[in-house]
Amino acid sequence: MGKERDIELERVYVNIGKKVILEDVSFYAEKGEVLAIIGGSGAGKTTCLRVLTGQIPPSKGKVQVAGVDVLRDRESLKNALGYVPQLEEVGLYYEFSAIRNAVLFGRMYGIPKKDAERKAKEILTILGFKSEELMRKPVGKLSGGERKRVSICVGLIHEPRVLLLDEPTTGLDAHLRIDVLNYLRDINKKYKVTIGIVSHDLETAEFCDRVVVLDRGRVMIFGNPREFVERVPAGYAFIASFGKLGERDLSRIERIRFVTRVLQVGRGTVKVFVKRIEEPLNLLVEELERIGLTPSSIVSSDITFTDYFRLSALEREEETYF
Amino acid sequence: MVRAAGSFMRIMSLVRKELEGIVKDRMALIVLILLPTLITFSLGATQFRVLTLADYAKVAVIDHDTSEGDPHYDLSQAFFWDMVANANDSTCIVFPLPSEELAYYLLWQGDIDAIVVIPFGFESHLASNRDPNAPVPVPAYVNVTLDGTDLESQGKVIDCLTNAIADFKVEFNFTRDEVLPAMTAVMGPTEEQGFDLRVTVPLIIPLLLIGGTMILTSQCIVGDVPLRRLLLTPASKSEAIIAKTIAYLVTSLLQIQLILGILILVYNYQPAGPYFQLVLCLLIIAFFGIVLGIFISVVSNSRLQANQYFIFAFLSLLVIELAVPVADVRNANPLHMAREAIVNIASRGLPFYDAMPPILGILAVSLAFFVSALAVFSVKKTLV
Repeated sequence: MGKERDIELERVYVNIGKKVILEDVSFYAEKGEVLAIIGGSGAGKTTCLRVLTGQIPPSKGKVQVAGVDVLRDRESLKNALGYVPQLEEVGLYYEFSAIRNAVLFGRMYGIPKKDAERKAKEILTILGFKSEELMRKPVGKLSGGERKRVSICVGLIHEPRVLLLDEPTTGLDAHLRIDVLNYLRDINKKYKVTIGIVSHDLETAEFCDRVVVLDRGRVMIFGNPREFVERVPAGYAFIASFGKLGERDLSRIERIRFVTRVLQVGRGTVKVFVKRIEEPLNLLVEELERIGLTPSSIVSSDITFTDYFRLSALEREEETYF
Repeated sequence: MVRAAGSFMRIMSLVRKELEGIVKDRMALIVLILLPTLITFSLGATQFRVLTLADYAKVAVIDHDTSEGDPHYDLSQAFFWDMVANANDSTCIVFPLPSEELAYYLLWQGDIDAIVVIPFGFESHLASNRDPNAPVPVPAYVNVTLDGTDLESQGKVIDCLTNAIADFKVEFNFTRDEVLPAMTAVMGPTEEQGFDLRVTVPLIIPLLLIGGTMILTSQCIVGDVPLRRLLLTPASKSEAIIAKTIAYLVTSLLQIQLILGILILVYNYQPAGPYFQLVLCLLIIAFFGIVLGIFISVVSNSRLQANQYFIFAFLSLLVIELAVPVADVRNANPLHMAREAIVNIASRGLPFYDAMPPILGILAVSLAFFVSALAVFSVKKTLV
């Protein structure tokens, strides 16, 4: 018997008119886990979120959040769920401060003003707000990253069992994206809240315990991202940069005997996956020089869920091609 | 952490949020405070207005009468001077012109507002009627041509002529078998009680209250984007509408105090009825503006659409009141009811019970819009 499931979609279908938006979608997150719901435009991730928040009823299937059937008990759902919309202007009163916003939302749940204010300060501190002055500044005068964190604070003010976030990293710089995801991890650890993150960014999965990738309304991948990473047939990965790199050069690198796969990650930059061998970096550099491709830089890298996803997509393409 | 939050507590928190939002919204403050202040001051200032030449109706008199009849007076000239004597009270300027051609030219050019022609035979006809044996009295006409494009000047000229004729008849004893009106206007403006205000207040104040509240509340749902997120909390749509209504009633109450304060303290406006009843009446009128605005906000899908609906609704109220000459249609117009209600309380000084029918009418229309707003909002999708 596994842990209690806080987010669960079981064989869910959503049809709008004759259009099928979600088809036989099943995934879950156990209590205290962080789940990434990933997909491109039109994949159905926002529909999943709306189904989970009870805004859209599924045409078929079962949806439970924090043990609550979202269709049957809307009031319990509202108390068990925290929600962070994609755009801050949708979720925050810009003329109010971070604390005032949090207190307002807290009051809707019956939290006394003082308790809500104390809680808001506590969450904002975890989210990197260093001074009370910043917490009392109108949200309209804060930066994009700060607003995002205020929005997360508002979603957490009533200590929900489940926090759902819609594209929390969209529109943020790379370092801010990582900051926000790290803050969410801190929140997850501190409050043991189950978190569901909807994103189009595969990078998000690296921070999660479970990931579901949707494609055109269907589940493409669901599971633990680390388990997927283990399936990559490689022991090490290196990022190598070259002045110039053509299609034929990629094939030549791939033909090196201990190289398992090569992924282009930028102009003139590749990620090379090698078998588990001794001194892989030296051997790789030697082999590259031997075939006339001297890298301008080469560094060791982690094998990530994004790599797994890209490699499996590549394999599917090749299977279809051959 | 979550406690059983009562609906009342949520509504009060939302009311506070609305009021804080209004205080921080410059546009709302302009509409709620600056606009009524400026309009009320302008309204009051009309009492002290200095009339300029442009305010007077210009009346040209052409005297063609050379007939004889009265041994002592030239009666056509006497009539002219009676017109001159009454001109100022009627806001007219009366002057002679030598020819009708010149007068018609000036009328077409818009330089004068009326032509009064005293035809030949005016005096002889009147004199013949003095003979007690005259078989049938012969009327003496003066031909009046008015500028049909200007209702205001028409009123002034007719007033001047009516008074001049009455004076002339009394002066020369042409009053045999005559019934002359001796008119007294009651409940109208008196100098002590704020001269023009008793006429202008019943029209301008409802316009100000209804228009001012409507323009703000027509944006209050469609423009409150974070409300969609609030509705994912235990707060309900009906609580949101009730809170907004209460918040705007509070601001309207302050607005009413401001308007009445200026009128009473600065311009000596004295409502005939009790102050409290007038405030209650104005608050009910503001309530109509609030709920109509909220209804507009609920049915609109964008701020622009809400603005367009607001203009349409407000102009409809105004046009029906000012330009539709069908009493039954006008009587059903809440703006007309508001005007009637204020006249009843502030000008006539009727007891509240007797002044009720138009107030009940406004309340009924307001409640209909309020219920409709709740119904429409409850089925409207508010996805985040």
